[in-house]
Amino acid sequence: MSVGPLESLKVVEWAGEIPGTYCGKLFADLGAEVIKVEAPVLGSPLRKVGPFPGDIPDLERSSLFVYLNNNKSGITLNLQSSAGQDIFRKLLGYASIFITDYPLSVLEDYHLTHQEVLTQYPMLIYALISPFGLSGPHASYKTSDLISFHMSGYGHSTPGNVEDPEQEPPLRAGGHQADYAAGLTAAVGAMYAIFTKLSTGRGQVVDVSRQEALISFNITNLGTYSFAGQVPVRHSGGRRSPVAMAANLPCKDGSVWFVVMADEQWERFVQVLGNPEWSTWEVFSDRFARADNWDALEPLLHDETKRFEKDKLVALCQEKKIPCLPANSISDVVNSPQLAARQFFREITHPTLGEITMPRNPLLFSGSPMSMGNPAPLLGEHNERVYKEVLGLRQEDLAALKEAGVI
Amino acid sequence: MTELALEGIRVADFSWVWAGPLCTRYLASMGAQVIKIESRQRPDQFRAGAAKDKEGNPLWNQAPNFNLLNYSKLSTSLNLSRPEGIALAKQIVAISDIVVENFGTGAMERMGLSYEELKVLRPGVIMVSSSGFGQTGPLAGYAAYGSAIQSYSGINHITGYRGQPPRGIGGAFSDPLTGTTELFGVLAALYQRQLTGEGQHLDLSMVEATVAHLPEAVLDYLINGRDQGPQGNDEDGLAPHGVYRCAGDDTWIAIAVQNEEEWQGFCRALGNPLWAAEKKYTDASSRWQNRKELDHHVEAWTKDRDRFQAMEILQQEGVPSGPVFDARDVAEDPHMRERGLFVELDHPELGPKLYVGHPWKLLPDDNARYERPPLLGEHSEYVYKDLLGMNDEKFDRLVQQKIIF
Repeated sequence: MSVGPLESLKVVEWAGEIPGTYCGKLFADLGAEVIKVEAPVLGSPLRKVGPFPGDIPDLERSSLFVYLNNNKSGITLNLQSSAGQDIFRKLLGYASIFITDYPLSVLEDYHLTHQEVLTQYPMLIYALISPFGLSGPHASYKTSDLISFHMSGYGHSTPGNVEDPEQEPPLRAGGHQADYAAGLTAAVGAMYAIFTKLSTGRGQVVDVSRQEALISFNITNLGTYSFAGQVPVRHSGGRRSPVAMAANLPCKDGSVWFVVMADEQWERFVQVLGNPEWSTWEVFSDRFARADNWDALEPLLHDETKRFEKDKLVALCQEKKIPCLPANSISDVVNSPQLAARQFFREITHPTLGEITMPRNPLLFSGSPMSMGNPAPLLGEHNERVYKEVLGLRQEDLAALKEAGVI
Repeated sequence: MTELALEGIRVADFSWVWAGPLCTRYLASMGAQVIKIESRQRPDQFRAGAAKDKEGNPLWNQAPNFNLLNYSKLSTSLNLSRPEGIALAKQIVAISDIVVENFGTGAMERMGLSYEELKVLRPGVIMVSSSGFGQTGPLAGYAAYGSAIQSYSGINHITGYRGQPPRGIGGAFSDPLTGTTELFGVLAALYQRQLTGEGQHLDLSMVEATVAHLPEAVLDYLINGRDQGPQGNDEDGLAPHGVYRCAGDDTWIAIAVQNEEEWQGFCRALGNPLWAAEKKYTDASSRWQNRKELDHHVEAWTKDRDRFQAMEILQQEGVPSGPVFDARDVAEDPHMRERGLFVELDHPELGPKLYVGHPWKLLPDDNARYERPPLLGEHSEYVYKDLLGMNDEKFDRLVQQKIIF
């Protein structure tokens, strides 16, 4: 077990998707004891999700599963059986926090609703991540990362600078950003409940909606509507923002992303480009003019930036404190010397996946060394330890339960 | 009414723009007393970007983004470019539990406000530093901005239409992600401090916070050497999965069928059309192979339907689906209204506006402090006189000398 600021917290996680699994991971990363409950034989549905080495599916070789379940203890338990449900209820007595992202209907079937659980354990923090929350007309509706992303407002503004809305449909960001945001939001909510418990003296349900997690990221969209009364439009009409002029600029060997806010920042940028003649034209005289005349400015800029190698252009801009950074591919960022210097990618040894490199948690605490702890559990790997030490079962009990298909 | 979760906790908030202020805004709405330290000498960029009045004076209190990110806080004017200003900052830290900053790396040290120094002023203090690249490493001093960080992190590279050049995520993403990650870190450090009495220094890089949310692409590269490009709205192996036109201009619905059960529901929702029974759509793999044709069929059904009605019909049969929402849709959606995520707060210069509250609800004891955003320097008197015991003459002199400025 690793050390960390949450090393005295005990968490039980029963999750079928990324949101609940990632929430549990965040606690495990910070040193909490996280017991992950999986169905026997098949385990968590995420064991079927790659990337797998060579794309060969294997319940014990999903790299995503290994990343998301680092440093957790893993047990198997058949919740369809009433014996399994009894054991699970006893297990919950050990925990301060329970995390789940299973649907209400499933929780009801297994007698694990918050009403039932909190009646038995009034001090428990019961964190439930659901598609649309526990209240409201959509409370029973279903979701996925795609749906949550597009119902948050982010899909409408992605990509930016749309020229032809018909040819450029609303777009989801790469990966599963809504799912991870929901897991992170639930982790914060659970800690908020921990502190709330100090003053109320009782546990709480933490109701997290997968739709709302990304909405809460997206305040500028709300701001434009709520404050300025403007309805957002996807079609940019070729303009850029005068407040923060930002663009992708092509170089010899890739591209960079630059941002210029103040006029004098632009002046410094123009110096980097060698003071091209067009930079003195009236139509580009201040940030409002440049924003309005972006269509004319863009090709002129590109002609200049294409003369540079991207790292060189970045270095020259950074010398003048202009926020300009390379537009990285995944291989670029994985090979970033900055991330290497920060030891962001760590190698762990997993029993079946072998040596695998993966990101550490981004939070660095001076009070505890950043260690990866133990690799993600094999299916049922910690049955003996958890059932014996936490629940006081004996070897014979374990054998009988296994025989009966309960674990 | 029960005490708020973080009642009694005080935060010296040096942060500005987005990530730090989002974190401290949540600390404030959770009950902490957050003292935002700001100055006319170098205003928060979101205040500085505000519109100007007829005389050309910046309307510092009216910038939407500033207000959305800084409600429930106290604002105290403090000019940190002067040694007397630094001395006052130290006094504020001396009575605070948490210090939050997101200046460029090294700025706090240069001001004499490093963690080592603050620890002496206030033993047990928790300091949180967020920055583009972190406190260490060759790029630690680099000028960063949210959208540039998104570009550096690789998330822009995997966002775009399949087979086309990358487009990038629209709007700020790394900033709020960092602010929320930072918040989790602060709460964890606070939790540890309750038990041990010890504080610590947190170091958070926006790039790292972002890359931590891209494991699928990162691991595919590390394990299989594949450098992923944009994949549109696709999810490998799933069909139908994407956005489809509905009735009206630029109006869309997102639909994601993830398994056999949802496919059956999808077919029922469409009235079990004949095409759905064709061999090429019978299992997940063949649906994925034939997804372009499948999408045509789906859109033939959606394109003349109201997007909300289409959602109802699909959801009745258990199909994950929902309209593509813009900001107005989000604010006006009856479900969102009932959820109460948005809070109306009045403002002396702007009047009542909607703000975003907590994306988690506690049952039974949901409680939050939602107070309007502060005007610049609004609480200077309270902070310096009431909290620090400064007398009137000294206060007036420091105002005149533009230390309290």
